[in-house]
Amino acid sequence: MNDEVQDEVQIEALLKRIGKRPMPAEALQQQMKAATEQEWRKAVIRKQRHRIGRWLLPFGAAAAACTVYFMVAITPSPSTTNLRLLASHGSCEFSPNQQFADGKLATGSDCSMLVLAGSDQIYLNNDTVLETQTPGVFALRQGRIFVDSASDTQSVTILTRWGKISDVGTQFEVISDQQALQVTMREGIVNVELPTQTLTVTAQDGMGDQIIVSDNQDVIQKTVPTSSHHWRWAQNMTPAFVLDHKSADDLIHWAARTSGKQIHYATPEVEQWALNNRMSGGEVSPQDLITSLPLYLKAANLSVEWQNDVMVIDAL
Amino acid sequence: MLHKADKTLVERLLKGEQKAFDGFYATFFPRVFRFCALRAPSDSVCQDLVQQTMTNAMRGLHNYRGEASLMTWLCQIARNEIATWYKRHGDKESATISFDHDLELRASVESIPAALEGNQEQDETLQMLVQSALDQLPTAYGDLLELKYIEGLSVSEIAIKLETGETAVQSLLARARKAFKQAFTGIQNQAGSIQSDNHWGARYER
Repeated sequence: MNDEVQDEVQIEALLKRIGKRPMPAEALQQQMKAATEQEWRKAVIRKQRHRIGRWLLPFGAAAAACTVYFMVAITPSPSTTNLRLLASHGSCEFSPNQQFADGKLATGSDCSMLVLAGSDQIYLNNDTVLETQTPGVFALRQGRIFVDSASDTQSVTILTRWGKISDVGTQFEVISDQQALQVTMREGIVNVELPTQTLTVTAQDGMGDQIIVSDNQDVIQKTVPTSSHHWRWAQNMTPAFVLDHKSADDLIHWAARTSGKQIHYATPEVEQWALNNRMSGGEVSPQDLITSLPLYLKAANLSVEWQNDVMVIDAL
Repeated sequence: MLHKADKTLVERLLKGEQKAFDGFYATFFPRVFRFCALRAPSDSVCQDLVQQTMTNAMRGLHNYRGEASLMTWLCQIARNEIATWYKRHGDKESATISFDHDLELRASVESIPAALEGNQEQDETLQMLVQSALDQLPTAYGDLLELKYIEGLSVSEIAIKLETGETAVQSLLARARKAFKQAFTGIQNQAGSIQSDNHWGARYER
């Protein structure tokens, strides 16, 4: 037997004996990918800023001022480009911070993204088509979106082939396809205007209403816990919380909003302490809130206990 | 030696190319995961270490100069994270092996715990050695060897799967075998397990 044949025999024997290399679970890979991708996007932005800064330096302040003026002048006004990409996952062809002119936003089969619309955030899952009609009004042609509308000043309206969904400062999800419309609440109230009736759906005490409107306008009502896995896809896309100079109370509210939990402070004094206690350095990822939040709060002499859908905050 | 392909990949990453990121993640995440899994005391710690390694890698992308391979660079970051974890938890790492002069080998060898020195089952030791060697190879080589010798696909079946010709597969297989032999032998030698047999893999033949 020549050397090459001998090598092949030995390699085959070795590999057959040890089997395939172990792979981490798909869910874990995806979860970690989302967090890594966020860091990557930040690195890209930092690099771009660095490049711009290095380029501007030799020209001095006057040239820089001219450039800034020029950049401002060519940036379309918010009324025509009110959507900005915050994050994307999968094989998306979008650039970090890309602005979208009024028109159609479409994600492919392996792309999901988070866009900033004014002060509201809209998450688009795979195979979703969303069109901007006017500021605050969007037409969901197909797919699944999650709206996080923290704004008290502007309502978000989603138009679908089934009817119109309007919010007043809330979190909700809309899925629209050829067979049915599904609206699921996580926080607040929305009105769903159908051709035959108007429904008000809400979320309270850790449970959100879910309505499914079928082709013949039949409406099925259910409830979905606000901290259910149903919301995981959107939670995984939520940008990390940057601690710099934020209060512990800010962090707690962000964590509650991200995870769909309610907050319960053990005493008013504890709440006051959380409001006054500022944090700095680092950021908190939404993917590992359950493990990381207690550690961050510990630094502020606070503890968190997860009781079903409630976060109980107490002093250490 | 400058690792041009890795350097180019990092440049594409820093330009914000989504495909570059997806390729980077698909290639290196499983390897970093296996690297940490062999050294972490539990699954949850392993996950934390991997996440922190990937995060730090992204934060330090601009520092990558291509002087070591990307895998070696990632292993260096992982190694620092692992050391920090053990230091914080007042524990000692399970393996202390020093190969300061050859970063490539060091990255591979350090994924093998101290158990290699003798007391564990041979199969387990062998598994670590082979996995480390496969992870040291270019992705296409490792995957190809698994397709051929573990999944048992024929050259023509692999050619169809990879959408290429049979000659190309045969050529790639020959290069993959050569690279594997080199990597595996290097790891064995560096790990102090130089065999007395005539053949590099004979020690493990049943």
